[in-house]
Amino acid sequence: MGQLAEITLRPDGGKVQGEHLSEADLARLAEGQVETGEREELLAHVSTCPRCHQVLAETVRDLDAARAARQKAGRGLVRTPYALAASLILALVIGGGVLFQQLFLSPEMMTAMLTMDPELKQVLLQDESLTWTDSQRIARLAVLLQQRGVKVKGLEKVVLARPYTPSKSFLGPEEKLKIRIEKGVAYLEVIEEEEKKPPGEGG
Amino acid sequence: MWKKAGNRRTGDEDPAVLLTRPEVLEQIERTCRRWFWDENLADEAYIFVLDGLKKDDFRKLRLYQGGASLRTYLYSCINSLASDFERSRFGRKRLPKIVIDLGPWAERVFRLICWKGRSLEAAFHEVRLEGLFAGTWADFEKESAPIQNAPCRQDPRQVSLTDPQGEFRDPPDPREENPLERLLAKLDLERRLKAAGVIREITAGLSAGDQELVRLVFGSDLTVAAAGKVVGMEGYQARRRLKKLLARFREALLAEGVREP
Repeated sequence: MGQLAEITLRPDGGKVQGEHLSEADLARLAEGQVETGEREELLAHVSTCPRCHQVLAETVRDLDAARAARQKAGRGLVRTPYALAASLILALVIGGGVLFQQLFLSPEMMTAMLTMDPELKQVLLQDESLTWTDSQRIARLAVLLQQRGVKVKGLEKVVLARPYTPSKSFLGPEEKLKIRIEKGVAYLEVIEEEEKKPPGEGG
Repeated sequence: MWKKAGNRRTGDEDPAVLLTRPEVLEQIERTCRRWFWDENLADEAYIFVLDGLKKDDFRKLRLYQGGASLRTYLYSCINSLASDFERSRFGRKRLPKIVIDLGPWAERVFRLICWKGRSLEAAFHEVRLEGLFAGTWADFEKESAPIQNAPCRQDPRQVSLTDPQGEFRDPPDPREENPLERLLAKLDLERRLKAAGVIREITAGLSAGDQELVRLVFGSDLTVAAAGKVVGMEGYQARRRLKKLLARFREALLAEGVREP
């Protein structure tokens, strides 16, 4: 680490704004899971507090290191320039497709991706059925999605792509919940962060 | 997640079990070794962090309620406890008398070099910037000579702070792309302090988000993408923003007559 720059740039702690941030807030900041207004408030403190700045920086460092270690282990690693080109094209097509759907197709259809958290896990693990018709369970999911910024209206049914089994390794890849809601039906799929591989990628 | 003691929701792990997982313990150890260059301190920190996580029936872990991933939350807790240990330890740990007699600047130098593994040069930079020492580099070398005879707990031998074997030298910095570090390292000590003052002044005038972006990338050597996430920017936006901020630093440094040799 650049020691001279680190010393020079460190917040001097002279006029610390507000109380120290909680570990939860620092974790959300590190992951970029904070809305704009709240983020400005949190950063206003971090930019003046040597302690919170350092904890935040080290947490981001740990996150980055974990991500790099997973990539090095070869999960979802693109191995050839041709596979890279293919994956970029695929990403553009899929990304463009999602954007197209959100902009131009029926407003009744929407897609989203969320990081799995304990409340989402709990509702997914309630039982093993791939198609939900239990109105209470569906309502619970709708509330959770709305709390996480996903607009949900008139949800009547939920369909899972496959049965969900939580990741066994605590420090393993992050789980994401892919959501597509169309005509009152939520289609859910849980993926691991580097799970997506372009078709035809060599071993 | 674990709002009540003994809550065993399907798919959730009991914190007592979580803290026995090898990967979790390894993460705690790795973090403590990164925070504390002194091996003995790192070992003490490890115990402190583990105790902190277990305290009050794993209260910290039971407070987790989502928002970020559990893994990130745990990283945050471990780093937070390491910070708490640093503050508690550095306040009370007994320093060699010869260091205490020299004053606060010498205590800081000793801690930086013996406990954090910093170079003498970096220690001088810090105590000058913090206003703990007012003299020149030559003054500092002369006045810190007695500190060199102080025993360092890391090594049972009495190790010189300018050990030619390089025990207290900075490891080579692989991030040569850090333009601010590169500039500061090239300048002689007096011009370096001037440049540092200018950089500090400009940084203090930035928005909180820009300050943090600069600190995370150039101060902590984190990736632009990771730092961008913190301040709510995509990687390319953060890169563009940093380019503009570097231009401001450059302009201010040139205006103060700071030139690269």
